Amino acid sequence: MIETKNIRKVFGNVEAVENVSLSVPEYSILGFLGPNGAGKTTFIKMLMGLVKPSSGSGTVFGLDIVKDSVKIRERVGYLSQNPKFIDHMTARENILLIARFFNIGNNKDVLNRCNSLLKKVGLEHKANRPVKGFSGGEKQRLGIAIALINSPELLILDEPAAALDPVGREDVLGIIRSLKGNTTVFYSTHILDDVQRVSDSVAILNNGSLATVGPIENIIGGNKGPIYSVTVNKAEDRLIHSLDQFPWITDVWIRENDQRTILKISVQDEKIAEKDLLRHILKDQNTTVLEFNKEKHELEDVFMDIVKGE
Amino acid sequence: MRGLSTLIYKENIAWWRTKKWMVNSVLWSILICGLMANLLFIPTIANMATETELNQAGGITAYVISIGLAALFEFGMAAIGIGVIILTSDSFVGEFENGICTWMLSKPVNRKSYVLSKLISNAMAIFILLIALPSTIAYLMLSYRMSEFFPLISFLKGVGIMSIHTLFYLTLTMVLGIFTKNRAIILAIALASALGGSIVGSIIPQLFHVTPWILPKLASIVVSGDVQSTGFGFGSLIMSSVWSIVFVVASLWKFEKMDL
Repeated sequence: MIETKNIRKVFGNVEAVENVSLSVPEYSILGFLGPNGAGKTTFIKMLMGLVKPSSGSGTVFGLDIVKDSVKIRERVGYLSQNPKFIDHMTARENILLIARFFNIGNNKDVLNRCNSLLKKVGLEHKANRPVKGFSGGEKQRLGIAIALINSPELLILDEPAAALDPVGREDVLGIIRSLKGNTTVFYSTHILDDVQRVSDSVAILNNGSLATVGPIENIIGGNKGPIYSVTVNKAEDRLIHSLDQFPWITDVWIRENDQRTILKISVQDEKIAEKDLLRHILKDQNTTVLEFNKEKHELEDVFMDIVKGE
Repeated sequence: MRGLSTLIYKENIAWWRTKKWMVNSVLWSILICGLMANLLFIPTIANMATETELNQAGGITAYVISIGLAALFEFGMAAIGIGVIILTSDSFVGEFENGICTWMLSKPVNRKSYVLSKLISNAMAIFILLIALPSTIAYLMLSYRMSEFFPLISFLKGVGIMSIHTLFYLTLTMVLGIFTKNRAIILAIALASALGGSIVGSIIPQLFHVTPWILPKLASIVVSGDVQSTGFGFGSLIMSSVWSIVFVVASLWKFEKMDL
């Protein structure tokens, strides 16, 4: 659906996007992550033909993002980071204005589509009010409705939930989920929890470069497997050495903390670890186990590792 | 020209479905025709003319008609030029800043359509509200004062020159907006031309041939029927038209290359 090859954008002396090669399969929901200023919006604008790449190339639906941008935009729904509208016009008028750019059908079809979208984003009761009185969240919802007016094959959302309260965010995530299987969704965000909840794949951009990309479970899990955290009164070398002998344990880290010792034990085989790990530690007569937890890898851990360069 | 009709529709909404059309129709009619009415119908002003001036004009009616025409074309064209600059200086810059431009161009829209939609709809609204409406009122006032219809062809020639003069400032403001994205620079350059052009031209008269600075005088003379003295301004008329075309082409070229 989206293919970029060493795409790069330079503004003066600033390299906003550096040789990004990315492939987004059809019908996937890709969360495009990165800290502020990472180059996410510039990358999205290049896909939309709003910014021209300095070098490299890209296609959307197999069409060139520079030469065929009008044809691409025909089939894409796009919501910018700070959606803007014609303020003196009502929500319905704004949607109908944008509908005129697309060949949606006759007036009745367009009106029906408009009304169903207003309902979908929860704005049907405000359809006839001028947009200038809308809150940030309402504008964001209207932006999503407008982005969906042409029943796009690809929906590109730039920070769609940034201005929303938790309820509004949940609604947006619901809309994204409802498109699964019918529409490819490419959305940038810095709300990592949202990505983990709705995306099936993730790309992380940092300082203009693509740091990682792949299915979300691979990114989160990597090759590490789960980690168990065991807090003990003291960990003797004998215990650490014995843990190292198990083939299903891949790594053991030790952290001293306030006269306690925290063991972080990375394992390959979760089932064996659940059965044997605690039992083995308790066998050591000199060790008292104070806490035992299985830690879940979060996307935030991966993200922070990348952003902080760890 | 994908998206042109919808973009023109959007621009027309801003002109015709808000109070903008009403404000401008009243403002420009009062500003231009109000001054003209004073000159045509207030006897005190005509009484201030010297005997020689009245004799040169061919009587008191001919005298007030000539000063009325000067007010319409010389003062009016300068005022409309300034009005166009102020009214359209925000047309591109405003939408660059508030994101409407990016929003519109994220739809299946040709970039040329975006530029031309603004040019066409602004030109149309400005022609109707700032030129056609006040000119019609002015023509009726002139005819009433003369107790017969003012020569229509001559009058339309003057309106044509007025339109070319206005188009020059409309396209100048547009090209400056696209190239500089800066209101202060647009206003400084365009207003300097509109307000200071004739002063510069009086110092370097050759500039009158390549700028629109002499067009208000030319329009006034053409409408008065002073055919002998009209030769001097036609270079200016042609060059103003050429400049307008150059500004449009430059705007289209630059906008096509811009990152939004």
